Amino acid sequence: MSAESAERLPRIRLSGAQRIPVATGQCRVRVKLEAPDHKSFLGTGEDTASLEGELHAAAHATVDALRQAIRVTGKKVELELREVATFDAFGKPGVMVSLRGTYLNTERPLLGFAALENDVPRSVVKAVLSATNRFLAVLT
Amino acid sequence: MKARLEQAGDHYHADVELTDEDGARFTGGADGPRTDQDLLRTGALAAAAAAEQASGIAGARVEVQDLAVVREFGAEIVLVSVRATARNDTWQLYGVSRVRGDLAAAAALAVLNATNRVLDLA
Repeated sequence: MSAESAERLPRIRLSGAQRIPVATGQCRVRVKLEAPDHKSFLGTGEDTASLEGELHAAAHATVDALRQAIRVTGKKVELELREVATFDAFGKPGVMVSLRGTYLNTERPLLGFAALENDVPRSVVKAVLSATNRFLAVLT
Repeated sequence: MKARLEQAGDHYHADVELTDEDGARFTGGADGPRTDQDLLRTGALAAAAAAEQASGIAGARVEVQDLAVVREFGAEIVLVSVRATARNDTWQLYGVSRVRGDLAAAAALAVLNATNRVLDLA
């Protein structure tokens, strides 16, 4: 393995996503991502207690966990969550996310989509990873 | 990824070329009638063929199911659903890509967005 490839961000996978009970009117989501070497990264997000709030909390929690995974590589990569929305796709509900990734002073708009299942936080994590996967994997 | 679209009579022909980190190239091609919907499908089918090869997995298959152009987040977006099969597993996957002028290229990128995690293409 070359030194360059050794510095690459390893393929991050979803380990768990959980809605945590908090005070009335709020919802908190905790997301755990895992690298191939079993190093894990825990992110949290909080928003209002509604479907929209849960979507945003899960997306923020995922980005929080991804930032920790990026920090380990020492790379100057920034991720910013821009929008999250539910969406009907081919007759089924889905969740679409929009992020902005910045690396070496170059900004890239990132989009991801996943089917919206009963486990809303898990669906959102999949959409965020779908958006960021390629951008993070090809950093050199 | 490079995508090239040609018009030949009443048909489109699309070629999608993927390059891995060692410089190896994998090309997929597809033909379709000259309609807007088939322009999307032709680009997606070419990308699916290229992705199957680039995966390096014997028997890997990427089947393009549905395609749509939608407006969300203030942009035109191609959405694709595919079924991918590899190593005796099958996944129902979705991919998205912003349209930047070329519908066939956007459809091809949406297929790669859908498949890159399970086929380890990134």
